[in-house]
Amino acid sequence: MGFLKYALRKLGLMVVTLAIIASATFFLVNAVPGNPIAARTLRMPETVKAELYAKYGFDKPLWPRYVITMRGLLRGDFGMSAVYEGDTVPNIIASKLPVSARLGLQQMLVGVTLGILLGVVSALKNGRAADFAIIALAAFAVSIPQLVFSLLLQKFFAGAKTGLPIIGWSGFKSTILPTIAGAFVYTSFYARLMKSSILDVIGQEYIMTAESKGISGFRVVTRHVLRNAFVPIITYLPMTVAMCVTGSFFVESVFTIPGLGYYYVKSVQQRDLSMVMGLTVFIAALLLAVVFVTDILYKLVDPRIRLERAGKR
Amino acid sequence: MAWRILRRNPVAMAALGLIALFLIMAVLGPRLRGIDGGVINVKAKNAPPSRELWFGADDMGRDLFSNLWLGLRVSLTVAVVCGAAQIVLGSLIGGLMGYLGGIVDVVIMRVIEIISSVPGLLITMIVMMILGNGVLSLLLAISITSWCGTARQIRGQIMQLRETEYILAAETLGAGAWRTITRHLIPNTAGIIIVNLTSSIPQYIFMESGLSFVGLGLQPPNISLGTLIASGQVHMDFAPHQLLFPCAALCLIVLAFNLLGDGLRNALDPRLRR
Amino acid sequence: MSDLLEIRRLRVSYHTMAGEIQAVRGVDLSVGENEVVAVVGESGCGKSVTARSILRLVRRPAGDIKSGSEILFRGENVLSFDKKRLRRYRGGECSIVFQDPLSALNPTMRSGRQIEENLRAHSGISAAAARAEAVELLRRVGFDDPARRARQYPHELSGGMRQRVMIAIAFSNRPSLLIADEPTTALDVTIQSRVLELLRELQVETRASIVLITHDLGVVAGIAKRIYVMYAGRIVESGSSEDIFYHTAHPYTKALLASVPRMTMQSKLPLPYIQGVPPELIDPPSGCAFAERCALCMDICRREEPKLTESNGRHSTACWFETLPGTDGGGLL
Repeated sequence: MGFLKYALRKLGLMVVTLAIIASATFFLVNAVPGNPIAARTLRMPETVKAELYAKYGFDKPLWPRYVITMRGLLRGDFGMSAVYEGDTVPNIIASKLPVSARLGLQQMLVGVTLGILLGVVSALKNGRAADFAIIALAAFAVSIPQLVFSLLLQKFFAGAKTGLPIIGWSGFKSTILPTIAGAFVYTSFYARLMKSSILDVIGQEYIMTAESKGISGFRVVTRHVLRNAFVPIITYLPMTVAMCVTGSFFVESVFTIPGLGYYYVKSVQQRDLSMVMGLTVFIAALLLAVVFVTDILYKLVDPRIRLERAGKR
Repeated sequence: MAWRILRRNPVAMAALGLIALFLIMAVLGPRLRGIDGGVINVKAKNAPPSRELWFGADDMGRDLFSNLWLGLRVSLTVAVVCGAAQIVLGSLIGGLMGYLGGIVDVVIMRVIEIISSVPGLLITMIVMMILGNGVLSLLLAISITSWCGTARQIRGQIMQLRETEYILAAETLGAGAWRTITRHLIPNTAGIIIVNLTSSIPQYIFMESGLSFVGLGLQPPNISLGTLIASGQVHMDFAPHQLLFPCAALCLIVLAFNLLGDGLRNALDPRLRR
Repeated sequence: MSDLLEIRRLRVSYHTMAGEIQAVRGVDLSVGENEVVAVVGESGCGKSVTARSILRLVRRPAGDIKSGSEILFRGENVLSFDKKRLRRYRGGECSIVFQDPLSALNPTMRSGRQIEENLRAHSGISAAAARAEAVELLRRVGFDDPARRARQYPHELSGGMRQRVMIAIAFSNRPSLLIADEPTTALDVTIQSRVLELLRELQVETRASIVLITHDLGVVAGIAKRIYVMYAGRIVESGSSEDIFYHTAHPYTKALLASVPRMTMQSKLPLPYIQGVPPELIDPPSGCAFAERCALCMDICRREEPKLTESNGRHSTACWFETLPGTDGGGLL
């Protein structure tokens, strides 16, 4: 059926894309004036300086370094962090990813669930007070920057009164505020998406068919409306998962949470070039992989897509 | 037509009024009270809002009212410049792709796909790292990824228009390329561009304040809403006004753009008009 | 006279941003037991809205069946049914077949399940019995391998097969009334006649009455006993199919008949069509709605609306040319 060929082609394309991203990142990062060890080595003796430069490869010209870096990436060797002495980039990623992933998944679970619920209520009460309240709330919520929302939560809900820590990452309690801070973006997005999807389905003729059968309104909604309304929702979910796993820069920064986002910002601030390089490639690879897997799954699962392809041939 | 529908939408008109007000205040605001926001005044250190200092003062006694509008100036500059960059670059590149097609189209399309597969914030941060902090580098760093979405949509629209009969008719009737562009392409793509713009301007304002907040955009002594919020966070326990006023300003400006955007979308999308 | 279905003064409007569209502007229509009646007209004339009204499928708040309208099913007003009674009526006593079976079938539900759903909504039969019954129904509508088809999704079937599934759903509870809203329009020409044939067979078998909605007089010819011709939200002519085809009274019906392609026509001649477009129903004209397109238009036609008037027996027409004394009805064309 040509499915394998299709998958392989996509996979090849993905590898090429990743290679281009890695190269572009390499040259961008190396265009940064100065390097992270220049400041540190300012007052060091020449021999030590040379040794350090050699250790991080800054003694070699650009092209050989490019070759070394790319060869390293192929083997999964992302190099050493220049700031966190003695730590390799993959090690740092491995220790930060679970933090970001947990926070992100918690945000998503809360946010998406609430969003879908609100979307359903809003669509079924279309044009009535509950709908207006939800839609106004969603419009309002997207206008509050995550940054501001995090800060407000921190200002008003953290501290002795509630027992919720102001910053840091230790135990479930410390995850509550950051989870809420990140969740509402998903809530307003999925509430709007769900509402428009349901309204779209309700306008379809097959809903009229269902109504013409004399089944209960509840059954029309659950069996016919919701089931079909979830199809477009599902297409957005994998990307949401990927995005949330890679961390939310601002929430992590506000609450000082040691996740990927926070460390990315720190690495950029400290000009930790190998970290920036490694993190960028890692995040890009993760996102590309999700897109690839989603694509493949859809081809396998949704027979309508298969049908369209058959129709074209 | 679209304007007439928009004018009947009170929410969108209120948002437009708010944006206009903010624009005026960004120009006049810093000088309105006759207090130089840059002057350090030890006596007014962390002063709460008062009749003299409407929004209070920061940890060095500087007037927050004057500085807030200075910060807003940066936000609005980002909105205008990056928005303009998005339109100009997007239409130009998208137009090129749609009109030339072939290898140009394929190559640029690949570039867009590659750029879009990395979160825009990462690219912006890396570019900021190269260019250093400052308004100009910030504008450049945000603009650099801004054009992709618009270009792709303009390209799609042009491809679609070229298929439709009336362009064909116009071309066979001997209308020049210029006429085709002004009479057919621009009216048909203007809607897409505007809708695109209103949804991305809040993103740009977000990005600026976020980057400045974490120290990657503007840095003190430069003032933006992000830097104000960052220093406000430090003193939020005993001088909450330092955090709340800039936060409120940021929320309001983004809300105004979002509401105007919603209004425009409704006015421009004929499918929603029913 | 006790008719199965009697529609009286039906008025339906749709509220849009541009204003209130009066889609149906006072329709009277009756269907006897075991009778096939056709409603014919161009798209937008209100015939589909009429069809949906019979099952109360006009959706609020956009759609609005005006007060004063009556839809009597065996003497009971459908418009004042309570929830329970309405559920029993829909799918049990009266069911509907839509134009496009692809959009009228739920894409995420197996075709068999969609039939079972209707069966189980109207009797207490078990899931297994419903499944067997659904397969039997599929066999009845002409599938060679009904068990396999029952497990397939609508997109896996061809257009004609989908419409057969739709018909199986409609007939599953042996309703006394079937509304067929353009049942063949979306199908290939080669399949159209077979679907019509199936409808007729099932009608004879179950003694159900059918309201056949169509824009195609050719479809109607062999099946319908009586015909209503609709234009701009009103009935302009009604009568037995003989009356309509051979003693045509209304100019619109005549024009409609003239535009049906015939084998005997010379291919060089252009197919006649009706000049102009139907009037906007946001602001309907005060006179005859067809006046602007009518070759026989007189002064009074633009001023006053002609009433549907019986000429002989059950043949009625709404045309000043026919009803005014001194004009020679039908003699000109």
